[in-house]
Amino acid sequence: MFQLIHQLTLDQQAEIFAGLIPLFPLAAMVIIAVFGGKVLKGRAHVPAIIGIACSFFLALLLLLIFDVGQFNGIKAALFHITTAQANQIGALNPEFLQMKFTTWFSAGGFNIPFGVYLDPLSVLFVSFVTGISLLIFIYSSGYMEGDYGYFRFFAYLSMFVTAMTILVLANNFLLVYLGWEGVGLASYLLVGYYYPKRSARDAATKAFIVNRIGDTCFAIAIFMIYLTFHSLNFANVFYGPLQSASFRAAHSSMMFWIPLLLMFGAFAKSAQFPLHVWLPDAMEGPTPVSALIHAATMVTAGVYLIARCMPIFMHDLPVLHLVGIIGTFTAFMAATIAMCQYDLKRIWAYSTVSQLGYMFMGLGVAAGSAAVFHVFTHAFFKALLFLSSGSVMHAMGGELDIRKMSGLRKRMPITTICLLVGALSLAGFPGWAGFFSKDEILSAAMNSAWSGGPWLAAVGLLTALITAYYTFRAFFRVFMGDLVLPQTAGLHEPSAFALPADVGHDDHNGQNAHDAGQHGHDTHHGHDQVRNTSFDGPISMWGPLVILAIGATLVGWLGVFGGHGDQGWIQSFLARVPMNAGIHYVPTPPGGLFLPVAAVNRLSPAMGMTIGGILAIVGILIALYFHLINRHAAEVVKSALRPLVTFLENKWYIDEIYHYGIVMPLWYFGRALYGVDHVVDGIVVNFFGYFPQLVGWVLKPTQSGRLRYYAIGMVSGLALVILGVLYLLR
Amino acid sequence: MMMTHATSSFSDPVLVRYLALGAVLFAIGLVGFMARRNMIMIFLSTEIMFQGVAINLIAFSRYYHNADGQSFVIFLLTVAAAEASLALGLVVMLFRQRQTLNVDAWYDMQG
Amino acid sequence: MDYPLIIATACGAIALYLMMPRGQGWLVKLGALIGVLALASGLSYLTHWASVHYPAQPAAGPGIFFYAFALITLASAVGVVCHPKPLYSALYFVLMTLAIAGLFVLLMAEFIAVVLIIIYAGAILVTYVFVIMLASPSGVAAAAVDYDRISADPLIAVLVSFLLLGTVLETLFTHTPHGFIAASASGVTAHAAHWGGLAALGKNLYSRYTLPLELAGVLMTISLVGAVVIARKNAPHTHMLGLGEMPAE
Repeated sequence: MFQLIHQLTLDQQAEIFAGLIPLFPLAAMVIIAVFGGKVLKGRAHVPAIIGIACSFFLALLLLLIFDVGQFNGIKAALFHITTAQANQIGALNPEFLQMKFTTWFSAGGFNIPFGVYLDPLSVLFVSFVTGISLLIFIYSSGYMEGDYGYFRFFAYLSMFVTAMTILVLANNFLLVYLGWEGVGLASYLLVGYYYPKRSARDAATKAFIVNRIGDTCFAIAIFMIYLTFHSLNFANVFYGPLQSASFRAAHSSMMFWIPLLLMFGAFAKSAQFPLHVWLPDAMEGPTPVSALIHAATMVTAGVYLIARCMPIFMHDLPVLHLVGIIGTFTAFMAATIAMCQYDLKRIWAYSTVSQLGYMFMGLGVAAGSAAVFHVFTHAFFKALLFLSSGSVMHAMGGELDIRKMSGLRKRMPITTICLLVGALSLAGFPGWAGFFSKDEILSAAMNSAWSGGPWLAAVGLLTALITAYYTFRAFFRVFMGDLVLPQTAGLHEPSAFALPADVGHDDHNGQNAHDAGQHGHDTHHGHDQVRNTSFDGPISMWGPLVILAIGATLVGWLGVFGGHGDQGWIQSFLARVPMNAGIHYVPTPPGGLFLPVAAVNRLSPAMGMTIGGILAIVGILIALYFHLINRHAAEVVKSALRPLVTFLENKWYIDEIYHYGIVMPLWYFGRALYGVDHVVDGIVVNFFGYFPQLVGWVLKPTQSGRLRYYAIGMVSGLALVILGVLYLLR
Repeated sequence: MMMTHATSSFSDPVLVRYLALGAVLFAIGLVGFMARRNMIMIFLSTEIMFQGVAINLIAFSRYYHNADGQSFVIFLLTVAAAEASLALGLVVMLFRQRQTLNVDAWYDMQG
Repeated sequence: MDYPLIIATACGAIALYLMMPRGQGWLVKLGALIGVLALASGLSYLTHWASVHYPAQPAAGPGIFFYAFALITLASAVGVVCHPKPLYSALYFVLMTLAIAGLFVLLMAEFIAVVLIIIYAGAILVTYVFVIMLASPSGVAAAAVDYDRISADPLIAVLVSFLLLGTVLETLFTHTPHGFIAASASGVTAHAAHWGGLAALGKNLYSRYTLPLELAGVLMTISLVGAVVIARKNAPHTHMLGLGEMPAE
């Protein structure tokens, strides 16, 4: 078979690899769904991990194929081609690869294929999606061990990966929508994984419904795209009539509404204001779900969409700027909320919302490479943070309130270090990944040709300060200081499924590292035993953490070194994707996609980095003071700023506004309609049932049973009939 | 003042008088049928109606110089007699049941 | 629409209504008066109508005997219907039968006239009288029982009947000038001179109406048997009132 593959040209091989990528998780899902209940049970993670490992391998191959020329030697060796041929795709002419595998459906002139669209953007996305997913799958096999519905979890996760890969590899909008809906469905199913819990069900429904709002906007945008361009294929939309100014002028209203609706769709999926309310509630799902879906991958689908549709957005700059403004506002808002949250996962959830705001800020100033770079690094460190928190939660028996635990570094050293790495990255400490990516966005904003850019950058810098503060607030509170363990430390988290104790809790040996072989019900032995054990969890849990930590440390440097000129590898890799302003871009037909826009030089990159680093360190120091050295001072400040703190604790009351402004009116409207329906049913339907009774009731007195009245009736009837006939005949 | 058989004229106006008489008699019988409570009187009123019909038939027989009308009256009398006997038998039986001839006493088929 | 006719009919209706059995006696007399009025007006209308539509006919009309017998018929019919006591009604019925027999004679149906008297007055009415006598509660309750001392629903009965009557008369008087079906269509018998006599009747019955004749006989037999069956005493509390078979004609 490898001979067969080698006979194809490199781009054909790339397309086939891309086509196979969604199929492995799909197959895994089917296998787990069919065999998971009875046959696989506790081993349901095996098909899932194998599937995603295969997909990741193929994604790495794609990454290699699309590489800009740094790894030509490896390419040549691996694919048995010459170095010159290896460079061919690196030059990328044309700028994307597209292949159609089969037709999904076609009706008249409307034809939707199952096809892949490969350009550096999609290749980068698919590679980190599959990579992070692989690590999280491995983590989940340890975290979810013994849980009731274990196989269901992995089936849903596999379905999610399938949908996500379809989303990023699709070559037309409808296929993207398929993946979009698929990830939304997977999110719903996984958030509602602990379905006996009311809060989990409600959170899942909320996530789905808020996403639905965005999906509707996205769907309308798709309709409009078809109406305008008469095709949904990316190639036809982005590289066709969009180039001509007369076409754009002729469809000016469409050119306004399409990006606007796409923006709303992306905002719902990526949890930006005002559609961000579902993401914190989605923390009801298991921690691996939070890590994978709501931090690293699904929420970045919105960023992917806008990045992909940049050619459209670039021709409607007001909407693009709106994207930036809302993104920045969201970043600031979410950071302030995160300052006052006490649930560890919720802090990271709001942090995700905030960082997504940064990505949209980057898109808003037409710095798509910076935004995608931030997506890439954010995936690593956010997944790391969530998974570490998951270890904490696992060890503390389900407790996540940071006020109830402290000084855990003594019990969970590995987790502490991993979370510290993630925190440094998130805060933008110089040298770690978040530093480089966040700074690149802020520089692009500061130096943007748009006059609003610097304002966004200023807010972004303030938000960076807040980010550093809340991140290390969490870290210092939880891991540093004196050891305080919550009541449930070392115990099993009570299962939401409330099954009898010996079902589904087999072989749970994560708690007591030195009791590795026993069944896990001997953990109630009192504090001294708890005190002496490590809570880090099995290797299936801390292994991925370590790998992610290494990644979070190193990937930042990919944005600095390794590319053409003084660009990092990532920037060079993404340079050919039409999502950056200021690039004079020459596709195969002459005439650029965008006119070169000279960037204004307000702040040099070095200066920007310095300011960013300083802000990060200042934030860390503030957190150090209030949450490690003098925790009492935090209480003083909190009580002094009571109203502000309450406002932030309650998430700016946005949920309450939605509840009273939208949900309750709709509920009452529904009740009113129910009443109307009741009345209509009662009146109309029951009337039809009652009518014969009515007729009978009216006619009953005529049946008196008395002969005379019958005679009278007969004769009068006869008289009337004769009268009628006579007068009619006249 | 016996008329000879063939020579008397029986013109339309005369016929109409007989027919009108028959109609009025029929109406009177109908009134009696509907307005009396005594079962026997009800049947007697039906006999009045029969008489009215008989007048009509005989008048037409005279008008058309035909014996058909008269033959029909023979049958009418037959039927009337049969009906009277049966009706009175029923009346007697009903009287035995309730000791009353009031037709309003029988309303078991009500509703 | 002939308004005199309608008025005459209405008067007749009112008359009959007033003459129905009721508590006050003077209303009955008033009714009788109105009845006469109605008949008179009806008669005048008839004459007028005849002169209008049939000017060629002799104005003599059907003669005095018709009017006499008709008056007796109507009066005795009203008596049958309006008398509270059943026995008197039966007797009025006999009178009515006699008057009608007279009418039949006028109409050259002498045999029928006699047969009418024999059967109706002689047989059927006798039966009625028997039943009236025998089917009345005995003893003290006899005097109290008078079903028709006040008639039942006279208004509706009169209204409906006279509605029907009015319609029929209206049609009759309006359509008659257009003529009845031609005499030839109904088949004039060969012996036109003796069409109405007994011989002609007998011949007609046995030649044209043989089957109905036989069926009439069957009908009589059935009613005989039926009457016997019906009148059998099968209720345990029945008194033997001596009613045996009904006399056949």
